[in-house]
Amino acid sequence: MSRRLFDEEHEQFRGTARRFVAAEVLPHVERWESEGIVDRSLFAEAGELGLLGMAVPEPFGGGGVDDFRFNTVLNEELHLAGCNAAGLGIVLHNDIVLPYLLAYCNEEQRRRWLPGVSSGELVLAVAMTEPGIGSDLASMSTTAVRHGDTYVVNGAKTFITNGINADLVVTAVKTDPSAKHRGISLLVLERGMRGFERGRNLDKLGLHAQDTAELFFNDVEVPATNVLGEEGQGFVQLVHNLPQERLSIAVSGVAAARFCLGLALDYCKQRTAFGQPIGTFQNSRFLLAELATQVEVAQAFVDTCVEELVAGSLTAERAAMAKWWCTELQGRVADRALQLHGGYGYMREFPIARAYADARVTTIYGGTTEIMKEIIGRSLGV
Amino acid sequence: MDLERSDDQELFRETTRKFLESTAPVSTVRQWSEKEAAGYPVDWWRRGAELGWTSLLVGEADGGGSVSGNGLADLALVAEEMGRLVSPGPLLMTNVVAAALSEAGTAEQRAAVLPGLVGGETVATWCLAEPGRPACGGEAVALEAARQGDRFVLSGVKGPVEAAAEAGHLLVTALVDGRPTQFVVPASTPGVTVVPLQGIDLARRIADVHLDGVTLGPEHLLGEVGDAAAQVERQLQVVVALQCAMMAGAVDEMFTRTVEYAFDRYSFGRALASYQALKHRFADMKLWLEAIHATTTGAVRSVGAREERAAELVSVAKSYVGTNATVILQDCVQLHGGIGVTWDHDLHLYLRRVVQERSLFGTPEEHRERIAAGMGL
Repeated sequence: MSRRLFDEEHEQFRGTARRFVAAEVLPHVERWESEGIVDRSLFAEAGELGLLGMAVPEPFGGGGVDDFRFNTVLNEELHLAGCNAAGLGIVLHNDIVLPYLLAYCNEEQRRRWLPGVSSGELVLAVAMTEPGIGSDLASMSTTAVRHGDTYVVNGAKTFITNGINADLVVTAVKTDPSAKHRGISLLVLERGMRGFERGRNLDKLGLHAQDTAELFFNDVEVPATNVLGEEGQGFVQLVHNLPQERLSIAVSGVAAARFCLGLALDYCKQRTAFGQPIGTFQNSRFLLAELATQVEVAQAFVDTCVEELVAGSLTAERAAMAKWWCTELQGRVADRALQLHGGYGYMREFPIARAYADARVTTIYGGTTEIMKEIIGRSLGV
Repeated sequence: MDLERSDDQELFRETTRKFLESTAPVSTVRQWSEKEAAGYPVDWWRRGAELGWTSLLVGEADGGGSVSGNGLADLALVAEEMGRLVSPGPLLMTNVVAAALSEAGTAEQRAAVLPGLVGGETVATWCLAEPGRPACGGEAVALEAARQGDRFVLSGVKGPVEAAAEAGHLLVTALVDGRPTQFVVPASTPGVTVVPLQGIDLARRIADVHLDGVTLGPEHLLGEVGDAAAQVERQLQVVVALQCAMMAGAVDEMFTRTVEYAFDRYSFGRALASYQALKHRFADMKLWLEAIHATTTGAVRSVGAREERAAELVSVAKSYVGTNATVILQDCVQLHGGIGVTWDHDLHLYLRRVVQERSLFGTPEEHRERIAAGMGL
């Protein structure tokens, strides 16, 4: 496959990312999967190699290049190696949370946070979802009441990726509970603030090396200097960043699908039945051909979307299209690739079993397939 | 549950099949479609009526009678056989009107209309659909019959209506004061104009029926004013159950012929049927086909027994059969390769039949809406 998306710098960066995955991620994946979380040191190791905060200006310790293609390369390398769970924290840190800081931090906040974000000393998370609200952000009930220079935060968030490891949590709160969208603001909550408690590391179907947690806020006093941007602008800020978040998930989806396809191909070439490799049976051959075609088609669309994001022209609806299509593809390819493995595919020692379980949430998080279709449908005027 | 057909039913089916095969093989259906105005010769329909095609849903007092005691099940056998040979003829329309009259007609109405329908000298059709409206459900009918003293005046368009041009009697579903009301209208009534439409099914005719100030009296009412909702629902169930039977027959026949073709046709030195990918496709299709027969049988039985759940079962069947019969036939086209898209091959006649039945009296989507509504959604 030839892709026109990348130039030489990106390919050099890919080499670094690939070495990082081989040296710092893969050797620990089994342990992290059983512990339900990656070592915090993983972020520092990534930071040291320049794999965090590529878009952060150089004076703050970052790469100084705001080019989502670098994020894409790192995201792909993690997922092409099957590190869906172990890599997710890094991808979330770079692709999904950092943009809020870059876009809305004032000078003081930049000095305070960006160096740690680039070095991996400060791990990021974003807290939007609450129990029972899903994508209906306007219905959130976490409140932040201002008293002088301090906000007092009360409420709870759930399904928070990096929930245990995170040091800075960009948290959506209601600063004006009487208003719907316009009452939402973004506050940065920091590790160690009194009343900021973490719940369980949630037990999930897949993504076991990824810490996903509930967060509880009981009269947490947050200084007003931790507001991101202007009070009341939270909903606009969240919506503004969603296309990149969704495209990032789409990029992961295609790379993860490619990983599953590779597993299936290897298996079908090596395993024989009735005297011939199973890949030579017409059914497996057609199926593999179909999956390979679907992956290539999805890759072409995602690459175009990445180009558009870099050029600043990616629309919310095209990001939504990429998100639902590529994650549904990931699920389909994982499912069929597992089927081709027969009984072995169901054994957890075979990587396809883990890839299958990891795939399931991707059509849900970052906005479900159904929400994506709502967005696309509305853009069509229907 | 009794899935077995009685000996009488088997004999009836066999008689119907033999008659259709000898008088109207597909080659004849093609010829008729080009040279016969109605798509069939009138005498052929009369001979079919003699075999019982038009009397199964009519009470014995009116000259009707069933083979097995369940006239709808008997009639479904005829519909299935007609599907097998993409036969022409207003089987569904004539029977649904005959059944409605037999159930709700006055003595005068029954005496005026039923002998002709049962004997095959005349045919009838049901005017339910209206251009631009859903084909079934509460929104289907908007035609208002305006009161004028004790008379009613109809102005509007009904369509597409099957067999409208050859029908002697039209059963028109309209609204009086916003409530469903049905009228039995002689086709010769002043103000009734039939405007033929080009239908996709070559063997059968459809048309719009224009009603321009058609004035009717109380003697034209079928049942009471404003009280036809249950009648209309019953008629819909009967038609849809029979549509499913007809589609089932059509798709079964073409599936069988496609399997035969796969054994006859060689490529790369082997019969098509020996390729694994095609075996799997045939297995998938066979599965859908069996389910088509099963859901159709369930719907026919339930409607025949006037069960409360008939409304749901008939919509389940229409939704499933309408969707999957088309999928199977499209795959039959693909498996035939180039020959499958020629005019000379019969495949397109079957595809046309199924596509038309899928759309008339509610698409699969509209029937899924009915199911959802029935569940309170």
